[in-house]
Amino acid sequence: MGIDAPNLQGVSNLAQVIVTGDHAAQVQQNMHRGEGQFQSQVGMAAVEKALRARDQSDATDMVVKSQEDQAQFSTGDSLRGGGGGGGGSEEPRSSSDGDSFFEESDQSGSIQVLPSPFEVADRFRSTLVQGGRSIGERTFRAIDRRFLAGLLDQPA
Amino acid sequence: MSSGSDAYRRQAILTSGPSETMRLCLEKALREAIALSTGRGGDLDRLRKLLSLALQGCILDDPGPGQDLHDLLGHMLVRISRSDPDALAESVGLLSVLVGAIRDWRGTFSGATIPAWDRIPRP
Repeated sequence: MGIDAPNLQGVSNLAQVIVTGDHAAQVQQNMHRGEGQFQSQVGMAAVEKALRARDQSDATDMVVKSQEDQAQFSTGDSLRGGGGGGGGSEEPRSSSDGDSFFEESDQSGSIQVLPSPFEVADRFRSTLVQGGRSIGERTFRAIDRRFLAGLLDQPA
Repeated sequence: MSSGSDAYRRQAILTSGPSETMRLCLEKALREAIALSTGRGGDLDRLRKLLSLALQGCILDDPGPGQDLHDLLGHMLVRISRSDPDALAESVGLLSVLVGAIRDWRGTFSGATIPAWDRIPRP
């Protein structure tokens, strides 16, 4: 009468059984792990899809952030976490300026290429001197010195 | 740079007025632009940060130095970000004019020259 089982009498057969069992366990573990990764990726994709849908509908601040990401450069994107465009200190530019200047893709229109920048620089020099003693303190009062200290402390 | 002058510089940044902070920021940007344009190091990302910091520090009043400086810094940022071929060289020229203007203004109205130890050290 034949026995349908491995021969456990010999040491070598016993070792073979153990190795085979270990191998089977590893294969089974890898299968579970692969399934887990796949399921987590599916879950992340679903969450990302839901966030994108919400981004386009509800959260207006996130929509603005996405638009900034598409711009070539957004002011303060690296300094103030994508706050964008200098906060509330900017004024809308008049439409006459837009005719002669190249408009940037930024919706605020506050950053643009000037046709004659050195003329503007000369004007800056003259208006600064004409403005008197206090104009410098008033004009530049929004600068954040802590950021400057941090930038200067960075190793070159 | 000695530790004494370095401590002075840090203290000056944190206690100086807005115009002095702007001057320091623009001078540092000028040094970065010079280093980048001459191929002697420099950090493009830091240059952009410095220009952006100065741009955000401008108060946009009716036509005046704040508006002009804001426009100029925006102009430089856009051109540098687009990697225009002569953007860095132009930025060096513009920043030189701006730093010189603020130095002149400071010398005219505060009656003080900028001491040597108050300059941004070379990178």
